[in-house]
Amino acid sequence: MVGGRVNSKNVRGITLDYKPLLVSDEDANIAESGILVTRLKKLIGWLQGNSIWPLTFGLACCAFEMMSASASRFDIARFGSEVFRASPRQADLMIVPGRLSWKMAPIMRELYNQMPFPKWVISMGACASCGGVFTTYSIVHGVDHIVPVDMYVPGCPPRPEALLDALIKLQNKIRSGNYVPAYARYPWNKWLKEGSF
Amino acid sequence: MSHVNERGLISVISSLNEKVQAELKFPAKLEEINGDFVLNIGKEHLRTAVLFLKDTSGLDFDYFSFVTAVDRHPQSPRFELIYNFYSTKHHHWIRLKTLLQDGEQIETISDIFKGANWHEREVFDLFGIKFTNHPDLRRIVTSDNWYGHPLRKGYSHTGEPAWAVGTNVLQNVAESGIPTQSSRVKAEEPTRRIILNMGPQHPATHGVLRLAVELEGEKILNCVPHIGYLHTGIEKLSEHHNWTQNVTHYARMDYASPMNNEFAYSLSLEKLIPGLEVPKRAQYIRVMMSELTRIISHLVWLGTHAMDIGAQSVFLYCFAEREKIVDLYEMIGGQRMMTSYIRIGGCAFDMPEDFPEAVRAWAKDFLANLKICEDLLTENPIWRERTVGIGILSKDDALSYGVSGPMARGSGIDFDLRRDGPYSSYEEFEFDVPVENGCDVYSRYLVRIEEMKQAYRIVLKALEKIKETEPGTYLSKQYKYAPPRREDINSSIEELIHHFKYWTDGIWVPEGEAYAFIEGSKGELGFYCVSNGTSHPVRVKVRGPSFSNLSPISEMARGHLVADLVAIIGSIDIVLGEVDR
Repeated sequence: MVGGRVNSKNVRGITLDYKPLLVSDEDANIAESGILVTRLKKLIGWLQGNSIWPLTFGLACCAFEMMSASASRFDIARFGSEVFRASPRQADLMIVPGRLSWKMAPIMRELYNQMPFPKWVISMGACASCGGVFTTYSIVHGVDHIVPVDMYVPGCPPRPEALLDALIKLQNKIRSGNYVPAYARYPWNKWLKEGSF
Repeated sequence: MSHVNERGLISVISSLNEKVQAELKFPAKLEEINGDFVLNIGKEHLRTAVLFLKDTSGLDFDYFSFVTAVDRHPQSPRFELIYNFYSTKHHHWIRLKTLLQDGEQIETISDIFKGANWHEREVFDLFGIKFTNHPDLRRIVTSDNWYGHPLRKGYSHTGEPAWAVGTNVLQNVAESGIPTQSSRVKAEEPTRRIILNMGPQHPATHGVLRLAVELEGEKILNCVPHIGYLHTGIEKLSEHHNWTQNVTHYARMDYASPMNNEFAYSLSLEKLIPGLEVPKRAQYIRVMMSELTRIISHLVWLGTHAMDIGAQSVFLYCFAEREKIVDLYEMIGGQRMMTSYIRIGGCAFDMPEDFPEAVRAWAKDFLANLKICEDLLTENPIWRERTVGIGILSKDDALSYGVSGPMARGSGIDFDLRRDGPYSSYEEFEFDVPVENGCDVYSRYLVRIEEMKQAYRIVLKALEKIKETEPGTYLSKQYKYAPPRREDINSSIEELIHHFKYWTDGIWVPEGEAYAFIEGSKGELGFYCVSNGTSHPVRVKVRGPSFSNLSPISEMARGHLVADLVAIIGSIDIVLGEVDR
């Protein structure tokens, strides 16, 4: 951004931050005059990135940290993601908190399939990312065997801050407008096209 | 405080011995193993023996704890079946043991103790032992089309899941979504009856519980729980990690009360290792942390239970309060949840110097904050409407199902293992055991609220007691079984060797078996450990309270509305990690 230039505007007491929408320095100049010029992709990214609704989906220990993140101390509402939806039809983001068993795997896949596009997945914790300490016969060693994962959060369990960090990073990616979700990348896009996914 | 002193226990057991010798009409051998009494019988006499233990006055084993098996491969007979009972009247325990060949069947006891139903299904699932006359012998934690029996020796603990040949795992979605697997839910004559599938992804099932509910209108006619959606294979994994490593994954089992799991496991090993003394300071720290754990577990229960019923703000109050105790966890154990702080022989580190101050700072307004929740709920007409008279579980049923903890006390059973079988110096603490006779959701609510207040009392008392002990005595000095301290490693070659052995090989536990329990936040949490004298367990059976507490759900839900089912699930306070293990 241009140094010293004011990029946010106070309208009726509400600060409008249009910084992420600006494409070039000239846009900032035009924006001063009250007109905002941006790319459609950027605008959509900005809107999507600021209203990610997660799915209410608890598996194991990490679900407690996810609940803590949504409670008053960490307050996921600061990032626009407090609306945990019980129905996958209304959710954009699937946080996979905890170990996934092979018995549960088809159900999780079904839930993922029911979510509308575009959708993102955060794999929360060591168990979800790679099976963690539970290298057993009944656990899926990494939920990326089942669904395309956008973001991995390390920890056993990760602190709520770590989850929020993952969420913010995902938001930044989505806001940039250039982010290709994991399902649209190889090999998931191939499977998606073939219908085998 | 305690009902049982050592002398009382001995007199009961000697009379038990006499009775067994005089009245049992078949060969039985009563022996004492690591302080527990074990009755060895032939498999054909099992039902007679169970009935004898249950009905003989003076014995009155009315509470069913668990059934499990041990694979003794390559010994013959291959399997050992273990039945554990307790008497809530006389406060004594007994284990029944019988041997089985591979492929042999044994008669069920699920008509004598209803709780045996699920436990026998679990044994069938994991070991492949069949129970004759069992009403519903299906797999319980693994999928229906699973191949093999995981807890048998020789079954690989890791690797790919063993689906039966021809199973398409992902096509399985459709079938697994339809609740027709149960023989008890049948679509018979064309009526208004419908079958509703609830879970495993449902915000009110507290994790991944699945219920197949048979409805007429909105009235529940039958409710069949399906579990195993979080089956982790912790018991199998225990056999492949050594005794010391195992502490780590038990905390992840009942993740609402992590330290209690470590506590129970450590107690069980300390029972198995003769002469391993835990210093007083470590015992008091354990008591304090166990009670703090009880409080966070109950807070999570209260928050989610109230949220299910519609009181959203209670959730926020409870989690705000929980955060403070989680901070204490972090202070003493270095992690917010899974600290692995309580270890074999004591604790991982000494209590930090400023810890008592932090606990007092928390304690200063805990009761006031709890009262906010209480004021919102206890006298609230909506809350009472939703909970009073809902989910009745009678006293007899509760005992027969092996229900323990706040659920049992909500059904009028005066049964608390902290008082009745004190461990870790609990006999030195004064606390009340709340008992309610309502047998409903509301009674369980009252019991848990009162328990939090009693736990608060114990925490403060424990702080005082810790102050009287010598700092630094947080771990046993028997370095064969506990990690040596740095100053001792520096001064002695023997301790250096112990240090090396401890961290590379783990500890070598003497041959034998032991069952130790604690009054966890949900009930009797016990670990049954079998050792063959090496660094790895032969078998670790976890007696999780949630597993038994969940089993009577169909009895509790019958006749109520679907909305009440949500309240009933909340009142059981299940953690699926512990149910499925």
